[in-house]
Amino acid sequence: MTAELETIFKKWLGEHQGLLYRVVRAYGNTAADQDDLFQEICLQLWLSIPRFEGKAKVSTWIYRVALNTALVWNRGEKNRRKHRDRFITIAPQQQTADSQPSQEIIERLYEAIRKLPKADTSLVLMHLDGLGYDEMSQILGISESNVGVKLNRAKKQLAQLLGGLIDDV
Amino acid sequence: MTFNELQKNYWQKDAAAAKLTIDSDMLIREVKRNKGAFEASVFWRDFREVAVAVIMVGVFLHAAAKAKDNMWVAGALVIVAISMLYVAAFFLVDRRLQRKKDPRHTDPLLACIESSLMQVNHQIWLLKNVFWWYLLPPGIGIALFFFVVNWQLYKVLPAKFVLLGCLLSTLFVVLVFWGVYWLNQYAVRKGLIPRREELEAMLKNLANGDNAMLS
Repeated sequence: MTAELETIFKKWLGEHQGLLYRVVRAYGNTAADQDDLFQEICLQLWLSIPRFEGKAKVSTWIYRVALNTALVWNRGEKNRRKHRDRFITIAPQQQTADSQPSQEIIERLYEAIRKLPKADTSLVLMHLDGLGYDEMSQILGISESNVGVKLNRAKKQLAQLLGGLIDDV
Repeated sequence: MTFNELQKNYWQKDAAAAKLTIDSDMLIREVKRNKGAFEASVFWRDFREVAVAVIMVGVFLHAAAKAKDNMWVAGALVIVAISMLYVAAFFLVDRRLQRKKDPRHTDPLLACIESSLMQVNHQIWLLKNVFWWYLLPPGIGIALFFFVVNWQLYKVLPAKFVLLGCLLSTLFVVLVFWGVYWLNQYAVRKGLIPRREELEAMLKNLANGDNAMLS
């Protein structure tokens, strides 16, 4: 059973590590916060495997677990982790004249996302990752029309926080 | 730039270009350790609370057995022991009932936030009412014990000594109980109420427009 769990866990991590990384980066303000949150999400993901029946897409399931954990995660308990290793390492991207401004924009975008209310952060993240209203509705547990209304509001707030970077919202 | 350009030219390009490496074997070891640590912390938290109560029950029953020649004192000590047992039972039953309602991270976000909020509200209720379920039951037994002891001392000692003894014992009990009560209310103010406000804000933000159970 444990071997089977490990296989599934590794497969999920391998296929959806980017998703996890983006959630952790959007909800954790510091590197230590991000490490704690990442470990907490991985623990919840591990515990969720026996309950996964394959009715939802794996990405929807992982999004749900990751966002739920991030939303109800209590920073007050952050010091409970004994191991402070970084489990995710990011290979430095080759710095070119083109990539420098794009990295700056990504940093600004994450900074703005972290300033949004937590529930709006989840909407914006899912939208940026290209999820449809139906999938967002399943993950959040609200109606599709409500997803639309809230997403528009969140995008407007994000545009304000980005200070003129986006001009069509 | 338009939102779509930001999404396609920056966000999704960055997501595709990011080269992440996860040491999954080390992570699995850590996840298993965290799971074990979490289960152990839940077990030892319950064990600690119940063990203290059980030891106190033993201490008071032992004292009652030693005072068997003095029925009033023995009776008061048995009442203290029973009240300790009641507190331990209340604690255990409440923990078991609440564990069934723990938030599930596989539920939709709205449901998970609702169950987290219910959990925090229950914690606030428990700590706000700590006087009634945690302090009062042994408090009645202890007050009865002091009354019986002082009443019997009154037969052999001058009244002013007995009165002084009464005042000092009452003051001691009131101070200890007030300390416990204050610590619990401090935990509510500093930790639980801000957490409840945060969850309520999230729930309001998410549920607004749908018929969620925000009350």
